[in-house]
Amino acid sequence: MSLSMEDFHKYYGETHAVAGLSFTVSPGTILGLVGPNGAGKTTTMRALAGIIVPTRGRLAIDGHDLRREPILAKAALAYIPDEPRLFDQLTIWEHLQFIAAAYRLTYWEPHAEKLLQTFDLTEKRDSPCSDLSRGMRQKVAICCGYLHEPKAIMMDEPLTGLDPYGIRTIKESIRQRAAAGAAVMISSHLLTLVEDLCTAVLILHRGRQVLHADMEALRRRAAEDGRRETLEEMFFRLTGPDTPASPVEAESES
Amino acid sequence: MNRALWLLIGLRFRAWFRRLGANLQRPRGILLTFLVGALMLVWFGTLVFQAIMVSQKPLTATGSAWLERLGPFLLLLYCAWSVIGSPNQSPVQFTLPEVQFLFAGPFLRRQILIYKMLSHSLLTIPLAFFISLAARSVMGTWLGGWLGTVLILNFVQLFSAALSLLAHSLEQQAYSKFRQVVLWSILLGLVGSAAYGWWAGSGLQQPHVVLERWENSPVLQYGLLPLRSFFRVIASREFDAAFFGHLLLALGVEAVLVIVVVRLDTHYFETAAQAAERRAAMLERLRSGGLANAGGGTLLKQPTRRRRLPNPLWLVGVGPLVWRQILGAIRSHRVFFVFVVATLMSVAGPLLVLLNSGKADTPSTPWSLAGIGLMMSMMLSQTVAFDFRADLDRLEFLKTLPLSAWQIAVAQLLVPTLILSVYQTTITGIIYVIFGQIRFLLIAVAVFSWPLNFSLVAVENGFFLLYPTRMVPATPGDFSHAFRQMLLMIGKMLILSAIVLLASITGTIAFALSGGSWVVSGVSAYLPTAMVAAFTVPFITWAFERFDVARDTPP
Repeated sequence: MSLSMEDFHKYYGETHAVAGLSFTVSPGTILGLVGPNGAGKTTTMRALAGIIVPTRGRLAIDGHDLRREPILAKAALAYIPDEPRLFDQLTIWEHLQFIAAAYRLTYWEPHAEKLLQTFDLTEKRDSPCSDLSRGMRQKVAICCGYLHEPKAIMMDEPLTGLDPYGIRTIKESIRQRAAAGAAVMISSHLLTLVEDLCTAVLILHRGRQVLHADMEALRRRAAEDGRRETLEEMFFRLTGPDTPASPVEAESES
Repeated sequence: MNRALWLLIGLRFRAWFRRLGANLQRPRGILLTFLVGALMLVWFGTLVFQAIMVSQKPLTATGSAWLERLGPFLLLLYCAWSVIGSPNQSPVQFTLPEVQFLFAGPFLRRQILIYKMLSHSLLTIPLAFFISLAARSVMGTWLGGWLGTVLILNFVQLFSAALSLLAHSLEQQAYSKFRQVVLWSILLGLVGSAAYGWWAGSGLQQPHVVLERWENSPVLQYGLLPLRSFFRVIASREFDAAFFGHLLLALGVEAVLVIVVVRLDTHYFETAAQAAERRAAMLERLRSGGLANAGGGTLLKQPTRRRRLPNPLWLVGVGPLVWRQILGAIRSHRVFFVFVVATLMSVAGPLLVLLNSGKADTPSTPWSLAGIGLMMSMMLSQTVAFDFRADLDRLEFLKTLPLSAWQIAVAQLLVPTLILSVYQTTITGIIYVIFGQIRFLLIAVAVFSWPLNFSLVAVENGFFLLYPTRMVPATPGDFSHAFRQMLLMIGKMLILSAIVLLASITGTIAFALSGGSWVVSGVSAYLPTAMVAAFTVPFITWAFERFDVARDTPP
């Protein structure tokens, strides 16, 4: 399994940011992580990226336990947060140079050139990142993430600030990466994106998992039940103000 | 350390120079670089010249002795302060790009920590260079002074990091108890050594004798021993065995701290990431509007009750913008805090010195104090930047308002003018109430401060609109920012001198022609002052109109 969480808990004093979250993302799967604000999505991603320490639980990337083998785990991962934070004075190419050194890549230049070409950044490769627009910075962050051919990819709101060309390029690249065997997890409030791109969905509500299901299975079951419920309708049903903050086991499909 | 982290240090260093080169791409950048470079050359040349000249004189032992005596105390106070304020701090300050690329990257925590501390240490080398040149008079030799300053700056960083990591490894609750033990130990040590001083002085001596005994008590001496070595390195006049002994001891202290930091290896990522986010948010606010825009929960806590104003008046179109700026000013209690501190520093401090030396009764005292207060207000202009400078990220919005450019220009300059003028009049008024000798100056300040401040604020805003920059530098060690401020200050002083000269000439001529009428003289002096202020409006209007938000907004 490329990404896995087992009984993940994160407490901040009395506040339970995430409680008892367990799921896996297999190679080739694109998991959509959705939930209202404060549901625990970013906490979950940051814990998997090794930035925050779980209060309890076992987290692994590409089979490597994040606590015991952090370097091997992180070497298999690309984490692209919602706000691309780049070294402002470094150029795009220097970012890639640094990533190549960090992940000990050899003969990385042709791959880097290809990535820049794909994301339409070739002309800007020697520009400092402070001169780039929000969308371009996002593309740079994605290029940095893709350079080392990660086995697991986590993206927080990956389409923010992108133009239609950028959106299409990134969606295609995500599909290609998944087809090539990467496990992808995308956190987004854009439910249409999740419905369009993801092969599985995980809905969090008040730090708990209320649904984890295969998209195809959801669609199939909806058809069998005679319901025509979209992901958006399902989201509102499961995370509405009257919904108790407890897992909806019945919906869990995986 | 990981090879990639060395590469990162190298790339960032290269980027710093590249940015300097980028400034030379445009004529305006060339001009500014030339002026800043000239200023740097003068300043740096003076420091080097002084350093060479001072080294030729036989160095008196007084300064060095005071340094050796007071320095360790101050460092000890810093350490005690760190113990009090450390539990929720990040061991080392990281930037958000570092959090994104390093924390989630294939690096060990230790590697990242060493990278960061090494980066910091490299920064201390040039910083210590400037400090050692500026404080040459209290240093035994320049090289020793520089080495000692580097060691002290690194000690401060290492001590703080070690303490925070200790707090993390002991967990918060246990650390609080540990901290209490440390604090009580320090307190008991101080009380014990004070009691020793009192006892050794037989309890009948003068207070300063008791203080000296206390200072020489074994508890304090042992406590200060490791810290004293840093200052002995600075104060040593020869590179003899004693100097190298102190140097080794200081290096030993730092080596112990490095071992503590590396061995603890606690999981600091979470705290550091949160601290980086808080700091980035605060910097963002500062960069977009200086202290005036720093926002709540950062430097000082914001008041919970918000002050309100009645609805704005139109006032030929400037009313709404002035209303908005005043609202920002009265809600930013930092401004008033800075005002109070500045007032205390500018007036109360020198006054106490004069009272202590018995020279407070001289006729020049109120003039001197008022002069200091007025000068301080020139320095304060950054803190009351309720004008274009605070609106750098809102210039686009200002341009969309259904107001003409001159209305916006005038409105933007009025609030800092108001604050500075009221401040200057208040300071002069307080001195007048205390000394009663400067009525003429009080009247002059109350009347003339308005057009003068308007002109000076206009100069600052004009410079800002032509050479826009963030009010807080993006990277530490950005010396060009400090030199830019110096350049601006020189420009303001020149403008101020020109206006005062013009007003003096016209006032003197009118005084002579009117047969000694102060009123005619005052009005005659006021007219050119007000005219200069009025002439700045078209200039600011032009600068505002030519500001291209797409091209000129700095990163």
